[in-house]
Amino acid sequence: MEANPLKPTPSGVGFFEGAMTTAAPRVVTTFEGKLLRILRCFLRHAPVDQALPLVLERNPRPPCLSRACVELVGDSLAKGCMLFLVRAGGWRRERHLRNGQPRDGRLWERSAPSDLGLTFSRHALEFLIWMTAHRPDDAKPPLDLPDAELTPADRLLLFLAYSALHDTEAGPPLRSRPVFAGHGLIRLAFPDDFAGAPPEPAPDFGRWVNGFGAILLEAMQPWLADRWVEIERRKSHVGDWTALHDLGLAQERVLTALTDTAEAAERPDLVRFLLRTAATVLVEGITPAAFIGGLQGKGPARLADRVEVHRQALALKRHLERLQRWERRARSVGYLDEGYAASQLWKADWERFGGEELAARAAALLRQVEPLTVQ
Amino acid sequence: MSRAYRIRVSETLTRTLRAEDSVSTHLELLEVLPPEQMAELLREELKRRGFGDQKGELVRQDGDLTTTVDPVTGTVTVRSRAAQDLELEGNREGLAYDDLGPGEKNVRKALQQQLKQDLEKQAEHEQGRLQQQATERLEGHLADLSGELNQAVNRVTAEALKRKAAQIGQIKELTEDPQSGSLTIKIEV
Repeated sequence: MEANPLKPTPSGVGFFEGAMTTAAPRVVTTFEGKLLRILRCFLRHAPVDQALPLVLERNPRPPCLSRACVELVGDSLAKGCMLFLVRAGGWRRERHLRNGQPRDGRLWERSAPSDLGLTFSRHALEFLIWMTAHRPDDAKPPLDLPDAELTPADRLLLFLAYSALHDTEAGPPLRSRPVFAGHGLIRLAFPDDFAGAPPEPAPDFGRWVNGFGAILLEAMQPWLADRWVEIERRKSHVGDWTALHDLGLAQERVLTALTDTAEAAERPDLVRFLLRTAATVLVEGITPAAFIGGLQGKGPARLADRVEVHRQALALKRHLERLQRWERRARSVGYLDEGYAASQLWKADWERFGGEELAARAAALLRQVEPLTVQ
Repeated sequence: MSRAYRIRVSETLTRTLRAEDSVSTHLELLEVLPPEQMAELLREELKRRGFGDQKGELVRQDGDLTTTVDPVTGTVTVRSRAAQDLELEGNREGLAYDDLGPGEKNVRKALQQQLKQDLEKQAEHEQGRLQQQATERLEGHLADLSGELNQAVNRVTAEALKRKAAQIGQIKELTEDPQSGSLTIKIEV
């Protein structure tokens, strides 16, 4: 079977539907072609360098999109999002909770196929059209994405878009928009981007601990762990006292919001990535210099302010204390008590990652940065 | 033909500078006895060390340093305060080329503004020095205080163990080594 070559048309360009096909390439307009290229970048099928010039330019918005374009967008989203989730960690055999009971296996083994369908609303397409027609820093027309109407799949698309662009000049205008600033998964994955940002809007994790949102968060546990390890390891290169303080504060805010929500939903398994992160970062013999050793100069004049910076730099380590309290509480949950399975799963995770040892190392680190210690 | 006139301005800056610094920690007491009894033992021990009871908290003043202990929560706060009355004077001269009118006014205004900025900078510098003094005083005190609080915690724990032992049975022998801090209690149950 011979592949048809890509054939430009007077009105636009052609896109393949499938690698080897005898069907004619789908024809889309120039605007739609740019939209599809931007989408490919979001889905990590193309480098951001290729799509960034398109994101930063303005294009006249067409009255509507062609059927071919909409179908291509749908196809790309369905395949691209699922591929991302599988690669992020969905392929791993893990144990997570389903209706309060542990379920083993890969992502598609823990949930029925009918529960894994990605449902996008019209807002997903509206977002892509807006990103193609306007610059990220354009105030008008507004990027109107009502939070209550977004599906978990829509939010995944927003996450993928931000993830692709966060380190470019498109990043700052995107994160200043409430739909991104309040996006729980974005705040969790990129707390460093929101260092120094005002406390509102607070990250919302309500949609990430139930239903399909929780499935997404499960799949991304290894990805999140890698991201947080990267953030922790970069701290030793931070020279500015205010920057390190703000980074720790951003981490603390998002961790508190996540663990509060996960605790209320009885989904301790959704914060497993923190244990994985701590197990990688808190190696034997670790000292505070690994996190605050890069600070330049004497720092703030007040001792209280310097200590506060040190404490914030160890935000993750302070959070381990809370996770240890979960483990203590889990020990007292009886077989016939509500939440027994979730408690047992948390105890198993705690033991699997050496939680006691990690908590002890974290406590030792925290003691070392305190100027007044009483044993 | 305009003439050059020397203009002199003077300003005074008077204010009270204040500087403050503090650190906090938490006393970890073993729950040998119920929390309220442990808190009471801590209260008695700290009173022996010169702390006074102020609305349920124990407070001790060491010069400009204030140490506050909440016996219930175990929170210890050490605060260093400093204050200084500051009076700065300054003069500045400039030249204007008209003895009356906008030229002289502008020059006078500009000189006053510059002088005020200079005095503010000097005040800031003094504030920085005062802050440094308060912080250094605090840092210098922490090592001694840490040792003292450790001793207090050890004594409270030892006293709690004695009382607990007395509850369990009859104390036959009690050996305490103040040097090493070890305590051996033999009880007959």
